[in-house]
Amino acid sequence: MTELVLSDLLRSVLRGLEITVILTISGSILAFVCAFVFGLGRVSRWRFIRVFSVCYIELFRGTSVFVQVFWLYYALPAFGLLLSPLLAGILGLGLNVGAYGAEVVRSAVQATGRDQYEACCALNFTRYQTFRYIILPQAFPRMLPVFGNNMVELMKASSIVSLISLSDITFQAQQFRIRTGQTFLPFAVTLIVYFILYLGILFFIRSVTRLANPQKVKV
Amino acid sequence: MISFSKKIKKYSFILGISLSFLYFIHSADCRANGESRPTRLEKLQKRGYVRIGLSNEPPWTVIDADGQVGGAGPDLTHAVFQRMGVSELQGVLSTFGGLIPGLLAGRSDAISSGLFIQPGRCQAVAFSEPDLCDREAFLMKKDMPLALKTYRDLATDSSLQVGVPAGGTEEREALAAGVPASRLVPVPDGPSGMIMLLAGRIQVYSLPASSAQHLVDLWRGQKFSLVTVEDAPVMCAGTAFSPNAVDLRDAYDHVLAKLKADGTYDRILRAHGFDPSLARGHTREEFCRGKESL
Amino acid sequence: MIIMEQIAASRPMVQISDVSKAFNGISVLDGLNLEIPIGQKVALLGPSGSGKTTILRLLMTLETIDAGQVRIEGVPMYEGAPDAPCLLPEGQIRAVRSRIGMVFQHFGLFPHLNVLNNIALPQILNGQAGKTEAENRAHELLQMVGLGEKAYLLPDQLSGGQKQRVAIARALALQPDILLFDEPTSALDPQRVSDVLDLLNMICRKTGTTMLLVTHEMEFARQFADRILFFDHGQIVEDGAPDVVFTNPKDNRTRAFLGLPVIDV
Ligand SMILES: Nc1ncnc2c1ncn2[C@@H]1O[C@H](COP(=O)(O)OP(=O)(O)O)[C@@H](O)[C@H]1O
Ligand SMILES: [Mg+2]
Repeated sequence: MTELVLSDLLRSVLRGLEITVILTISGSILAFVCAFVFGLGRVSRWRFIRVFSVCYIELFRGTSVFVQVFWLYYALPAFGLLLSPLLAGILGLGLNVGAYGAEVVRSAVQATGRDQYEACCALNFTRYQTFRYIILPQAFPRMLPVFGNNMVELMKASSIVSLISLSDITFQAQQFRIRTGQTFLPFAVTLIVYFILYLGILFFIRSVTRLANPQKVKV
Repeated sequence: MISFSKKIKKYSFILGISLSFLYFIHSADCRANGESRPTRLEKLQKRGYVRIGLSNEPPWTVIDADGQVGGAGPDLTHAVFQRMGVSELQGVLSTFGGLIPGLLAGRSDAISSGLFIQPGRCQAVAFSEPDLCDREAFLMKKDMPLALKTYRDLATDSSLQVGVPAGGTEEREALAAGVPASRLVPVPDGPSGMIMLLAGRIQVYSLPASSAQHLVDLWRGQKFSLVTVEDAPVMCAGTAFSPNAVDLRDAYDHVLAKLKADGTYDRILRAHGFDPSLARGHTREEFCRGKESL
Repeated sequence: MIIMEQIAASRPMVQISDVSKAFNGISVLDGLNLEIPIGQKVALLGPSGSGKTTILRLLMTLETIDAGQVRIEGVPMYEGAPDAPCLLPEGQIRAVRSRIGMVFQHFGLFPHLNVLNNIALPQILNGQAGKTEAENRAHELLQMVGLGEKAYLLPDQLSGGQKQRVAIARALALQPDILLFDEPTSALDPQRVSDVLDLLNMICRKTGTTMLLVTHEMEFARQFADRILFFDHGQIVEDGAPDVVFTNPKDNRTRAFLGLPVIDV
């Protein structure tokens, strides 16, 4: 194997990695926001918001992320909305994973015991105070492990963006194969890179979990 | 029973939303078709670059590690557009399956990626006159004592598994010659086809001759034999335009004919190992009409 | 002005008028009337399911009534017709609610906050004190309930009796005019009960706060209360001073409950 081929592979992987990382991080941020907006919207007092949230959640959970990204990129231009490939990718992945996240937020919030709401009422908290200081701090740590899984799923799903002319790491590996005929090397490298990204997400979620959980004092 | 009908209500609601969404897209499409734009070329000239939909199919299209675009198709298209007053070519890289949707969605101005002209595709896009033409080839392992020359030969030997490019024209040719669908194996890309050959998953890999030659060159250490298919017609690719950009396509054809006449065409094709003489005498009409031209 | 204040002072702290309440069509309270003067310590006794908790919960606005009216020192909690009362809107009901505190059977402490913050946060969120002031007050209250050195532990690092004492301190921190206790010792180990009862006794002596206590500790109710209410099926069947109710109740259901011989009519 020549040095030329190796440097070609390195450049391809790095360029693909950049796209994969951008998609994973931006997509996760969008998914996080959607999860909260629609997860809480789902239990809102206003019927309209509830219905709207349910529509979003079911529409995006009930159809494949592949089709969603395809629509955002190839069908929206018919409305005169020409999203850049990167934006379409982030939107598709973020909205899809956000719909799953919304159910996580909803169930975590609803898992908080009734006694907590009643204590808040007895202490004369407003609805906002109840949510902000009592419900959310208890529900958030419960969401984190599932959010971590969702983030890993998003990272793995990000390889579908080759469909919309984004060169993520899987696509780059594939291009490298087509250029060189090498199959083992690019996919071995891709495998390792994905696994390292996975470990990164794991580490991130662990750190946030540690921050979000109350610190016990030694008795 | 109650929860069942509730569910039906919920899903029909969602379905309704999606359908009205579809309807809007459809009507938007109709509107776009209705209006004609005589200034399409001028727009490109003013913008200074043309966006070309590509998938990596060497030697038709070659994309290097830094994303630089080359290969017979893009080089020829670039030369034509330069003559038309559009100096720069910008590649819009996607998978083979994403090429036509991307063109129709306005993501690219044209496709130049070895897209063969065939009746089905003529319905969807406006092809230029043929630019890159090729014969069909079979790739086999050299140590296999197979005397295959035609698709009909593939049909007679029922032990053969035949690899064909996914979404390519070879599948139809083989079916027409009597090869049962159960023995046709879709191959996602060249290197995969080679690995399938080596592993014995397929015994024959049917693909355009220039693609086959490229793969044999890449696998120089391995022993593969390449056979030109005798009962297959010459296939020609064209540069594809959106159906409402026929004016642009016509301008393209005009310049393409000039390049064919002045030798530029021959020079570019030879540089990539294509035979310029194959396109002579073939027309878009003929390929769009289909079989009876055989 | 003077006359107005006198009228206000003569108003009962709690006035429950013709209140009905049903759960899923099953009536729990039916036309209940009850007045509790300012500063009175009331013990609510009676068999399980007789509606004692329901009364405390509707005072705390954790339940709404189906008919009637509830007034806190003359201020109504419901608007609309008496047969279709509607709880006041959020902004107005909070002013009434701020005068009432409640201690639950199962404590209702916030598990993610340490003991100190469980007591300090409600003061801050109610705008009663800044952070430092609220924490100082929390420390004082913890000292008072005998948990001075537990300030930085989480609730689940405490025993049941300790948790309930924290919950009491938390309720006291907001200085309510009315304190509701719903079986505060029922969830505790028997040997921890006295800690909480001693604390309740102390508070009872020290403050002029109106108190309603639901309990099954008869001896304690007798020491603690100015007035005993005996409930059965949502009705007050006995209402009087502890000595009278405990030694010579007039209703047979009370007698049966207290293990006294039933009087033949
Ligand atoms: N949320 C509720 N839903 C249905 N029934 C209830 C509810 N709360 C109380 N009840 C019923 O109301 C009656 C009175 O309950 P409660 O006030 O808790 O009694 P006590 O506290 O005296 O034991 C009981 O029969 C109980 O089952
Ligand atoms: Mg009770």
